[in-house]
Amino acid sequence: MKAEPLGSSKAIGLLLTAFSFCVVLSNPSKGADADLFDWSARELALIQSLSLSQLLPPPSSPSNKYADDPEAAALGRAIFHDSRFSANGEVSCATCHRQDYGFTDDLPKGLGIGLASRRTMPIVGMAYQKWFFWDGRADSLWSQTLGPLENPVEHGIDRHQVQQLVLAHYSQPYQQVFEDDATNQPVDQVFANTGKALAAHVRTLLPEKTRFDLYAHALQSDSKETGILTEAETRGLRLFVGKAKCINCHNGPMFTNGEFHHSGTPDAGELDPGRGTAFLELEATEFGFFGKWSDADPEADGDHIRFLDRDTRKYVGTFKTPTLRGASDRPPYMHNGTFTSLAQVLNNYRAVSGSTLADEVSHGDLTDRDLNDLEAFLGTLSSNSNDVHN
Amino acid sequence: MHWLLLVLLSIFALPDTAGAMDAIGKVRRERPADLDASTTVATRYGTLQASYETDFPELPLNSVHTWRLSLQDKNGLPVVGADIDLTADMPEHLHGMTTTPLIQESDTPGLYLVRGMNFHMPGYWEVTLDISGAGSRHLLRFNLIVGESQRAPEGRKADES
Ligand SMILES: [Cu+2]
Repeated sequence: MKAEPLGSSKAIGLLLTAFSFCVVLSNPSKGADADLFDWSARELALIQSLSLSQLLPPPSSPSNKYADDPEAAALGRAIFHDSRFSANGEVSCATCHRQDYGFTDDLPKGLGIGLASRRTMPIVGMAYQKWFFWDGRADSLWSQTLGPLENPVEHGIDRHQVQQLVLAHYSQPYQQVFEDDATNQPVDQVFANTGKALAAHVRTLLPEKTRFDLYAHALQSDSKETGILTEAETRGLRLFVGKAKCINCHNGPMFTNGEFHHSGTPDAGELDPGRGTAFLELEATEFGFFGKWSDADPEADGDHIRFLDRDTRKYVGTFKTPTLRGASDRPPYMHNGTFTSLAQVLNNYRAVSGSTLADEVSHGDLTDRDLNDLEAFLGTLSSNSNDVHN
Repeated sequence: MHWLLLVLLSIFALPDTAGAMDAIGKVRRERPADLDASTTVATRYGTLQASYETDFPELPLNSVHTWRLSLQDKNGLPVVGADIDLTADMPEHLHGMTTTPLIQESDTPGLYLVRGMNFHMPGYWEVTLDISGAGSRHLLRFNLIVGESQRAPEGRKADES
């Protein structure tokens, strides 16, 4: 800036006067919600950080060299929907991960061959995650997909059966993708490759633009079409990025940090250690990121695993932050499916706020209206929320 | 025991490397309005200066990344062989990172690589360096604001002139 000592302070004074006059003009009603659409720079930045426009292409998956191979994804998609991959011939991945229900189901706990111990996770946006399952006991998406196949209460088969099924029904596409005949390969390799194909498919399940994203875009554009959200939804958004501190964990364009936190969810006496037992399983699996069947470079890749804080004491009872995109369309909620509505979830966060559990259950002093506004805002994170309002 | 040592010990008895739940005994601190988030800091009399760089234009949220940490003495000479203890915490939330970074001295004198940094929440973080081996023991602290810089849309940057 060029120095102009004489008169500059007078000019600034005039400018300020003109500016405050404009503010008064544009803000004639000093009612309770007069400042509803006046976002601070910090709030604006946080709103943009949640917008789908900030979502980069999925990060590479170094442990799975087929992760972005369309033929692998096509094979994975076919197996994902194939109920022959189960003990009774009736359970596929799609049984619990229902496309018509946000890729999860409407049950408190997944129901495959038997009753699973936790709620079916929504799998949209998994390509952006570092840890898999509610407790993060898998360190790659492909190794995650192998868990349910061999879980007696999910698909209830084993890797030998997987190899037989691949040979019987997918021999040709398998050979095409993996450039080898599944008959010649060790059973663990066929099993791992099946997981890699499934992962390639799941990586293609990406979030859709929602009314919130349109609002975030409008804030950045000249149109300033802030009517995209109702007043209640706008207040909910302000609480989300501010007082209610939801954004601490539900951050970034996927509304999750992919980390593990205490949520204060009632467990009805069923003690679930969550993340607390995951570190042992991470080390025990033969399908790990640093294991025999991984394609990762053990020197260059996997710093998030190498430098993971494995202090069980800190993480016992924590669960992975789920995405909030589409959440309002797919109750029930939490790792144990204990809440049937978002209102119950929000009520519980208020009830446990400030307890001695940890910082993450501190959510400010929320009023009844605040909870209603937050719930209204969460409704704007569903893709069919576009239709509701337009 | 010398009183200064007691004070130092009491400071370092409180934070461990921090994670989901380690709030016991710590005091919550709000973010100061005029937070100095410089990437270069020095001890009061300039005996030791530290600065960091990453591969990103802004500190990344939810991304495990590496810091290039440079140490200089008061004459601007690189400090080699320093023993560095690094902790990162959110003073408002009373927790640290979900990783335990590793500090390696690089081939470039005075340059250290900190692998495994990860900020999993937006907001105010403090990265504290407890450095010994540079003659005496030094404490240095970086203040960080993560995830709050608004990327201006194309063509709407503020005019600097
Ligand atoms: Cu925090």
